[in-house]
Order: sequence, then C-alpha cells, then structure tokens
Amino acid sequence: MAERLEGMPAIVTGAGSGIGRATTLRFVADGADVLAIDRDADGVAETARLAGNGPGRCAHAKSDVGEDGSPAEMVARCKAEFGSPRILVNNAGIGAAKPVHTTSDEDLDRFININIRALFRYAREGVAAMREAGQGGCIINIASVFGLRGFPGSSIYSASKAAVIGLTQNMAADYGPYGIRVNAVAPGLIKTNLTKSRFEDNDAFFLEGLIGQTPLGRAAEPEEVAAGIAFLCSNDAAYITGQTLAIDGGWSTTKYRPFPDDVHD
Amino acid sequence: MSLEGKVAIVTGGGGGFGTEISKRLVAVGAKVVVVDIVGDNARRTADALGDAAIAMEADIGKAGPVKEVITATVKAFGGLDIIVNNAGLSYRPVRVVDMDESLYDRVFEANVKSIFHFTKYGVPELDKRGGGSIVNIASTSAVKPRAGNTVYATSKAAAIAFTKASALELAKQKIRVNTILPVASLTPMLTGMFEGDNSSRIEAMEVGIPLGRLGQPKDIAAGVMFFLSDEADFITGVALPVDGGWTAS
Repeated sequence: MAERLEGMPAIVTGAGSGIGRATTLRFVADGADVLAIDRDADGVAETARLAGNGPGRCAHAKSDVGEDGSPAEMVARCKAEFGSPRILVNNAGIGAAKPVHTTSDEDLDRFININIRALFRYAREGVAAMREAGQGGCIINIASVFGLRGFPGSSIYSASKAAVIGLTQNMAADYGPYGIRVNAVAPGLIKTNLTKSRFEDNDAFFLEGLIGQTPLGRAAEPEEVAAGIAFLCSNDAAYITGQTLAIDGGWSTTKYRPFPDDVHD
Repeated sequence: MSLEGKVAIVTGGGGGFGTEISKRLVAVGAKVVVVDIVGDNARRTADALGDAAIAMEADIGKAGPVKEVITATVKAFGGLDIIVNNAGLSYRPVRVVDMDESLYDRVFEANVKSIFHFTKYGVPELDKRGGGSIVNIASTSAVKPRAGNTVYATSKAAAIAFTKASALELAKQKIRVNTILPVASLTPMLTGMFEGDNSSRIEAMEVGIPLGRLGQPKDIAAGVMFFLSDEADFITGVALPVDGGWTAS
C-alpha cells in the first residue's frame, strides 16, 4: 500500500512527538506532503528531519494551536507550500487532568482551550479550505478512550475528548455532502510524552487500570495509531465517516480482567 | 499489505461483500475457501480466483457443515488463520406480528449461530497457527434500525455482542475479533429484498446518508482487509460502521 496518499497536502498538529510525529512520518511514507506543526520547535524540526527520506515532502512550523491566529496562518502556509489541505489531523492536545473537585477554573479553561476550542477552530479553517478547493477532504480528530469510558481522575480531559467525538459526528453529517469525511480515533494506552511519566514513575494504578484491563495485554506504539489514521485517510475508507475508531487493544470494549489461567487451558 | 501464506474462510462468498472480500484476500496472497449456501455461486467466485481459492457449498447455520468446511480447509491449504463470517440472511420487510417463528429461527441460525459454530470449531485451528483474526459482518441496523427489520436487527446486535465478548475470550491466544457494520449496500441481498423496480426504495435509503450513496462491496471489503492486516495489530473488539455517516447522524 505504499504511496496511497500520493500528492495529498496534509496538516498534522502536535507533530513534534508521539502520535503526531508517527502520523507525519507515516503520511510522508505514504506519499503525502505534510505540514507538521507543533509549539515545540525542536521537536517538530526533528520530525521533519526524520521525514527527510520521503517519498512525500515535509515542511514544519512552530505554532501554538491555542493561539487565535494559528489555524489561518497554518492553512495559508500549507497552501503556499503544497496546495490546499486535503487532510487535517487534529492531534495536538493536553493531558494530565485532575478529578473534578480539585480542578481549578484555570485548569478547566486550559483543557477547553486546547482540546476543544483550538481543535474546533482548526476544523473550521480546514473545512473552509476543503470546500473552497472543492475536492473533498479528510479530517481526523484525535479523541481518546477516556472520551468513550470514564477513568478515575480524568474529568475535564474525558469531557473534552467526548466533545471531540460529538463534533466528529456532527461534522460528518454537515460536510459529507461535500465529500469531506470526518472521523476520530480513540487511542488507548500509547507510549507518548503524554503518558511517559506514568511509565517512568511506574504508576501502578494507571498502568494496572489500563494494561491490566487491555485484552491484548500491552501498551501500543504511536505508529499503531498512525496506521489507523492512515487507513481512515485512504481510499479504503472512502465510505467511512463520523466514526470513532478505538485503537486500544480492546480496553474500551471490555475493561478486561484476564480469566484465571485454567479457563484457557 | 501481504497475507502471503495465510488461509482464510469467507462465508457468503458467492456474491456481494463475500466475493469482493475473497478477491482482495487472494490479491494479497491468501488462500481462500469460498463458502456459500448456493454452491454454484461459491464456485463462480472461486473459479475466477484460480488455484488460490476453492468453493464449498454449506449451510453454515448447522454445526455439521461448518465442521466439514474447516476440515476441508485444513486438508486443502494446511491450516486456518482467518475467518470472515460474512454470510447472513435478510428478508422482505415484515412486521413482527406477521412474521413466522420459523423465519426467526432461520435468521438467527444464519446470522448468529453461524458465528458461534465458526468460532467454536475454527479457533482450535487458529490456535495451532499461534493466533489469527476473525471479522464478523454485522449491520448498522443493530444500532440504527429501519422499520420491518426487527429480527434482522436483533440478530446483528447479537453478532456485535458476540464479537466483543469473544474478542475478550480470545485475546490471550492472539486472536483478534472485530466486526463491521455495513449500511444498506448494493448487493444481491438488498436487491433480493424487494420485488420489481426498487430504485425509489434505494433513493429513499440514500437520503440521510451524508456521503449520499449506498455502500458498495469494495467499501466493506476494504474495512475487512484493514482489520485483517498487521495495521490493526492493536485493534480488537471493535465495531466499525462502514456507512457513509449513517449512524453518526
């Protein structure tokens, strides 16, 4: 399936590490021309360096998605570099929420600003460009399994990701007639900067609650999420819109706790 | 994507989704046993695929024929890695009060019990190969039904629950189980549901699908291929609508 996104201009936010970096590299390997965006200039420059072998092209930009000018600037930048974006991956997001009763107004605003407001504004700018170009398009929003199921301590993070799923469904309805597909992925436990400290600190509650309840019994690499995103952006998914694909080893379906061994023997 | 060396069973392979799924499997190097209740249809699909496919006529709602299919598969191709439970039974729209109980039983045999049989008798073979992948074809009717279709929708809801629960049971054996929920699609199953000219019915169904068209076999086959590929290595227990946005709106 090499180069199945050949010549497709794409924007990936939060591309300086983790899922955003893996998605950028995957897109470039599949032939897309990617504008990689992150507020971390060094990180996103490294992503672009890693993408250097093509066959697609990669440009990078330092931009904070939470700033009001960012979506319009980055869409203009994509148009200038590669043409009007056909793909937009709204990946940038923040984690590490607290339970409701210890969440300050400031925390609340931070999550709403980055995980919902910035994503909404990028989607609005992206859809405008896609409608103007008239060639359809594909928007992928990165949600989370915590947007599908509750998990202790994730309050406003869960709520923000559930909002992303709702927006995904709505936009599929509004823009399907224009050939613009809008889908989400809901990653489970993925090894990224967002979860790094949980592994390093050996956060037993967190890891047991996720890996211990994941039927496939492990965390995943960012590349495994990128594979799902690449599928949803490809022609193979031409009839898929409005969906939220869990890439979670089965966690959200089951909250699985393994049977005692003898059940399997 | 390559499935070189893998052996697959595709039920309902004689037409519609099943034929397209069989073609795509062979195109990436898999061997396929094309199963259909109408033997001629299975043979037509398999013949077009050359040595990589064989046909079997079987009523997959019954344990005996399913066991025979699995035995023949292992004999022909040396093992079993992939099961696509695609075969299903639909019927002309009918209200529950007017429906024969015998039709209820046939629908559940074809749409639910078949998955039970293929899981029960197929998993030991998948196990011998160190794992595998099962894809069950359900329907958007399970989550967003249309009138006149109560028992079909119920059977497909059962297929989804079976998928999720069996994914949990089989994870440890490295067998992933997922399901695809097609919306109404242009297949013999759909056209067979209506008498005569059905263009007005099809137009009525297209309304409300954001992408503005019914499904096509290639759409469903592409979803199946994704689930079967290494790309979906971390995906199990998932119910994915391939429906042009029907269930999202």
